Amino acid sequence: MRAELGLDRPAVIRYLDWLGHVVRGDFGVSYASGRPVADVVADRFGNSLVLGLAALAVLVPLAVGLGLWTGLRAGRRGDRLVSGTALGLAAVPEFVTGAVLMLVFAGGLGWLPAVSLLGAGQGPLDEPAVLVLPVLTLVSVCLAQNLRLVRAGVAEAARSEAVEAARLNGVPERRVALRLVLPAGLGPAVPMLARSATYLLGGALVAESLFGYPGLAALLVDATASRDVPVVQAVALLGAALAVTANLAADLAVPLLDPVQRHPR
Amino acid sequence: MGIAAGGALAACGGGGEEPAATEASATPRKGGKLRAAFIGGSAESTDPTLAANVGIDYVRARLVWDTLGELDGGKAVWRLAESVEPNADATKWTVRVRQGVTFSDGRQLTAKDVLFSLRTLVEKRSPQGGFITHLDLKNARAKDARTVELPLTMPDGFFDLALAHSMFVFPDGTKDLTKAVGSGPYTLKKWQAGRSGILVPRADYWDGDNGGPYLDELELVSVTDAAARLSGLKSGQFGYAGGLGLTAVRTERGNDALRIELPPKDLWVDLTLTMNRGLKPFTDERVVRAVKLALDRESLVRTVTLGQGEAGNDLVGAHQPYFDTGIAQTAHDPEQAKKLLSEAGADGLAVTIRTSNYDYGTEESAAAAVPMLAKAGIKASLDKVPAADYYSDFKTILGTPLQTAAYHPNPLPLMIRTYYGSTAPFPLTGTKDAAQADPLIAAMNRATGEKERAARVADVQEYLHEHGGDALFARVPTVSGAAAATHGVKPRGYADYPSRAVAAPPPGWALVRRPPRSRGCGPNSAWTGPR
Repeated sequence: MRAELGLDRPAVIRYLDWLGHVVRGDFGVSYASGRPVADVVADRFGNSLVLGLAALAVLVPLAVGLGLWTGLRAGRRGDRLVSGTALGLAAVPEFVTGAVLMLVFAGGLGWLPAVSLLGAGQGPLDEPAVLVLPVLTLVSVCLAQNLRLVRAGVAEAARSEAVEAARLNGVPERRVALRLVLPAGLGPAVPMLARSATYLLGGALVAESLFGYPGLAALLVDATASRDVPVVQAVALLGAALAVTANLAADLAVPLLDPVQRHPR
Repeated sequence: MGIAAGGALAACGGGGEEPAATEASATPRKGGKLRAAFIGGSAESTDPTLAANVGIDYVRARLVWDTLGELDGGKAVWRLAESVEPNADATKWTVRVRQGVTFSDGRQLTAKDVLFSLRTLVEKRSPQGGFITHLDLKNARAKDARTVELPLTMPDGFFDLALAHSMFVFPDGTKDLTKAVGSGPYTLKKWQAGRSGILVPRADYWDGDNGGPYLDELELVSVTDAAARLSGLKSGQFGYAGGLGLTAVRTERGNDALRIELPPKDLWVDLTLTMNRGLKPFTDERVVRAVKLALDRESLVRTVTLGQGEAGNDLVGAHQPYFDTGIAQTAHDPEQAKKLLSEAGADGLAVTIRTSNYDYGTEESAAAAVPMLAKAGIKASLDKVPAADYYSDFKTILGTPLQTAAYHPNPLPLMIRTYYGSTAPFPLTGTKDAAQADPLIAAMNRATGEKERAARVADVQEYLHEHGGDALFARVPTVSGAAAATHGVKPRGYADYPSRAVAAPPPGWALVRRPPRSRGCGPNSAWTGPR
């Protein structure tokens, strides 16, 4: 068995061997199921991707919109209400938020499924209802930190000399907010959004297991518990690739938003 | 071994059908769809030789492939076998194969199919195949179309119990086992690992006269998280869910929308503190006795099993046919324990309990035992190990003087062979007392005839109760739930246990680990023995 699994060879050689295969797109075979790792991971990654993108599609407009709105009225009643609510939601752990949502929308009202069931051969897009509760759970967790960063950026930008000058020159407030304040205010929030994207796309464990959603994080836990090393390696690699990509995208996006960085003196 | 494990899995009643009846009508009603959730995992497969490794696979397998026989209340009930008889010294067993049984592709069931299936289950090292490794495969033969002769390499008077233990039958010469057809009441229409399987009934099911299959469609859904299975049941997504965890018994009390169901007691899991009789301080019988007396079993039942379990009497397999009910219950007597320790010169004894939360109640009971042992003057400490690592190192297990264990139900004589004596694959209590235990176990293995079998099993139990290293203090049920409208789903066989990666155990055996309990389903087996 040791020879069959190649455990009689030094770790470095085994690692290089694995790396060599990965470069050629071969992630090996799962110890637990005997299926090719690429198949196992691809299926789950697809599901996590759909869930993550759906969550991002809700999160980004909400965080940016509310961040702008609250940033422009920093310290006033509307800001305190929205920020307070978002922080309150963020302070509640995911599994509590998810359980409460489940209790209300699945148990009480019966509008949405409690378990995100996907039948054989079905993808999450065939049953979009299964995405609603996990998405709400994830958004409630990620919203506050993103919103607060946008708000802080916006509030600071709103006090800048450029904005004051624009206002004094009679530029309409709407134009000031969208053209000057928002791009400058978004800068600091973009890396945070990238981090949220990594978290959401790479599989959000608590939400996935709470709703029984067949995603990547649930696979990782399963594979770890069964010491299914090839699967763990592939998922870890994928997670790392996602993190690098998202951060790179964020770093590239910041200069696009900020004229000062785009035109170095 | 086990195919482990504790009931609650419900691979359905008699003919493997799950009648959708209402309580009012005592007779099941035909028609309808049932969606049932069970624990799945990354190892899911449609290969019958792997079916005993994952909860949902086992349930599906029992519906698709009929078995030679099944165990009902610990007794063999023959299905594809019509009869199973030993010769005089139990060295050769003859299986008479049932006539008029067809596979779902229309082929007739013959003796060759039975032989091929048994051979494959052994050669592929399936858990249930581990119980028949002494089958002499070279000389086993299909004597005629309906008779299989199974010579053994050693006498075994209990071979029928092994043959009744989840021996799935598929056609002779099946090349791709993942596509093997069966002779059960349902066929698999659609399946995806980790998602679900859709089963449809067969019109030509051989046992249809008994009523089944009742359902128009049965969907088995793979859900890893126990809490999610319960949520789905409560919200009406599932008509039935297995492996719910003991807390559900309390939280769902008074919920009219569902019924919590516990399996019969012979399918409960045994929780034990295992002392290795070959290692100090348990080489001294008085110390072993003292630990057994120190445990307050009633209190452990109240706390660890939430009052749902029952006290154990240091013996595996309670409520099974051969269980010796005449043996007095071990008392809770810390004073006597103290006295014994002092006689043994073990005042102020310090011990370490190796444990992990790999199974329901193991870590909790170890923690609860510490103050009980303290009352008897034993200073105990815990060595907590990650669940996935607990069984990965077999040498450590056999070299640990004191540890927790959860034995999942199997036919009692087979459990004895699995855990005790020098030929046991999992001798957690050590093999130092082989000189006394082995002859008793050998006599048990040779016994034929009901009276003789009962007497020889009783001999072994008497010995184990007095001298064995297991302080088996409690028994725990597995838990499943049915929606108010779902009836007739019965726990059958031994499956409720997700098992995982295979380590490298003694020859012919494998350990199968389960994931941490939080994700599992209630009491689950730590290992499924023979591979």
